[in-house]
Amino acid sequence: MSLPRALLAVAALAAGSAGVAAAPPDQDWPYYGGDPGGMKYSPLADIDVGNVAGLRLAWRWETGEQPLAAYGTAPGVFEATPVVEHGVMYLSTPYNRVVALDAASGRELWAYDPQAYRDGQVPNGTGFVHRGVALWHDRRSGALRVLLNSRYRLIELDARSGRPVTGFGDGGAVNLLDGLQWPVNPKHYTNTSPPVVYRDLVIVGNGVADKLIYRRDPPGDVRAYDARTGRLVWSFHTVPRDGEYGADSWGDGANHHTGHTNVWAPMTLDARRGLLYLPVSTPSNDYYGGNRPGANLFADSLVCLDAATGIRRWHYQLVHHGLWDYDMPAPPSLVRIVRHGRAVDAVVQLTKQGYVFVFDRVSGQPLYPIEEHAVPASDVPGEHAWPTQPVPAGLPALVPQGVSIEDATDLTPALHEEAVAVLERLRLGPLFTPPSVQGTLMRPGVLGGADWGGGAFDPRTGVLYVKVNNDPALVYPDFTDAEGRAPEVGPNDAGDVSLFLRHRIPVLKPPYAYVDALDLGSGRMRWQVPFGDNEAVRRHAALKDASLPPRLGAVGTAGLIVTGGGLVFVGGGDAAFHALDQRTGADVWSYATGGLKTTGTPMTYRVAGRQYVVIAVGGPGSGAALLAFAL
Amino acid sequence: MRASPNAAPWLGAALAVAAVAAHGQAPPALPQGEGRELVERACSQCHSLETVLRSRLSRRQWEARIDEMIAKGAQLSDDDIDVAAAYLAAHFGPPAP
Repeated sequence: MSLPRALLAVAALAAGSAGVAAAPPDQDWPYYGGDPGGMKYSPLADIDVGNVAGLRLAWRWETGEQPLAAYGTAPGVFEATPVVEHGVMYLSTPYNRVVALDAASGRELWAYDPQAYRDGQVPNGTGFVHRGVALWHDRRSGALRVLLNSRYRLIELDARSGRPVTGFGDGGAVNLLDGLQWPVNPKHYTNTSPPVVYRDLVIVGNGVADKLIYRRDPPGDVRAYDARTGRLVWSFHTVPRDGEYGADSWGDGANHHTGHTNVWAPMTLDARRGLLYLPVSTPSNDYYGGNRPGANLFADSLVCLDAATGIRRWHYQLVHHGLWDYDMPAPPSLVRIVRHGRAVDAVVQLTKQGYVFVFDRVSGQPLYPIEEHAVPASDVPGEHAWPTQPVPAGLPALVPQGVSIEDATDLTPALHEEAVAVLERLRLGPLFTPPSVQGTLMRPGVLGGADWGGGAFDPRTGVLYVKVNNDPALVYPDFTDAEGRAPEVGPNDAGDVSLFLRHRIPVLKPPYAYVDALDLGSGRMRWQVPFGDNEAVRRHAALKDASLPPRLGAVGTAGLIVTGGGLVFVGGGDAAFHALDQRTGADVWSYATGGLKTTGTPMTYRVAGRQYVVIAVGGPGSGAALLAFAL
Repeated sequence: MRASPNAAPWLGAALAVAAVAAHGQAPPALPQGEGRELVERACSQCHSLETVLRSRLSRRQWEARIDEMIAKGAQLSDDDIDVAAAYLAAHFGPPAP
């Protein structure tokens, strides 16, 4: 028993003897996703459907981060989900600082600044963002450590002081560029998702800017380091090298020079079995694969590794020869479901394309059959789109897929006419219509469907909750040649078609986002509700006389949580934080965030007898804050 | 490593200005002209200005990009859009035929 819990137990005994009700025990949120498998579920039920109306702001902590003109940097969106252990909250900020707060009051205990801004603005389109840290218990010393992956460094901090642990790597940090297959520009290598800790290993993927298109963009290798020393223990090549399984899925020797194919989204862990789950992204470049013929393993795949060795246990490619930036974006959710009367430990991969894939997490066998469906061919010179793509049978898509003229917005007759004119200039079609010189309007777009917020699973009911976007993207092929001579901003930027009428009104019909409740046992959608609003559209002069739906939908990539109190807490890019009744999707509480968008996936914990629900809001730029709510 | 001392409060721009000379990281500069500050402010919220410097787009293309960025959170009024698009097309337009 930990010391604070032991003290609570003593306090409870004392209170009991005096006839006073004991405070309920603390409940931590010690992992980014609540547990190593990322269910994003808390059994806490102090806040429930009956009393949630009384939820109030308990404290607010501001990052205080500002644009730094000297470096040309600005803090991006505040996307962190904190972890809480023993009454202390640990989080990362947009500028990659690590901060420890008193979880009951929000009082800052310490802050560590890796000065990530000294390398200038990050190349990611997201700007400076970071989503969380991981904790490691050194069983030899009894010390608690905090792991941060900041750009190209993996940094270990002492949890009590916030100081780097000097025995780790070089003075507390490991250079993640060391040992990669080819030299990498440090500015091109990033990290946004927290590391995973398995026993005494710290495991990291990496992020890459989508716009970087070089012959040798940063490789997506996933690496494990000794948490005590920083020594590299294993490396998994997401683009297999010659002689490795999958190398023959890269034609023309493309595995010799193709980068990306990285794991930027959070990984998850079956700690008992020692199995690690990797959501792998699209290869370079996102929209043209003429220089990498073949299926391109392990791109756009769910990969299961032995966490101790990095040896592949199984994989399933969920987009062949990716041409849509349909990275596997979401942390694979490790859940236990009942399927055909049998309880199965499963892994769920949510996708940008809107499909849900469910596997036996040990064997890799699909629990809902996966069919290969024929998809449109490409007419781009040199491109050979894969003729089929995987589709799960028996599970509904989370969002509408594909685009036709009938999808043109109809908020007013005039806008409808303008929208039709836009759509008529573009190539429309079903899901997986390839990018085209004309410009292909794809839906879901590059923000999903699902995205990095992933799903939240209630183990009592077997229902998975997902915040999803109904948002298209316009894509053109990037004709980067195999020598990587294309500029960082390629022909993808050549389009002169705006997907926004009068600058701000989406060309397709609302709603622009939903929250879905999917029963993973039966495959039935329990409910789907439009989620959030779009104030810029609602207040637009072109719509002042229009009759608008109560919720236009808020596009956003952050996720949600579900609690024992029967509530789904979700911000998801709206300018308000919401609690939904998990049975119906009804909005039972909301808190307007003062014009700031909700930008993080929430979390919850109990400390000193009080349940808190926390969410990050704000950014890019100044004004980012962490909001904590309690009864 | 270049880690800062522990528990340092957020020192803001002053610290950064002092450090930048030593580290030699100068942000890219945009050419002078009406709209420069607006573009610097709005675009560098999320991405490096190198993205702008390497682009060569027509005014309509810039407007389409700006609309896309507004949907992603860029803070520009309708008047700002005109100023920014004019500036970008003037300084980062397509090469002359």
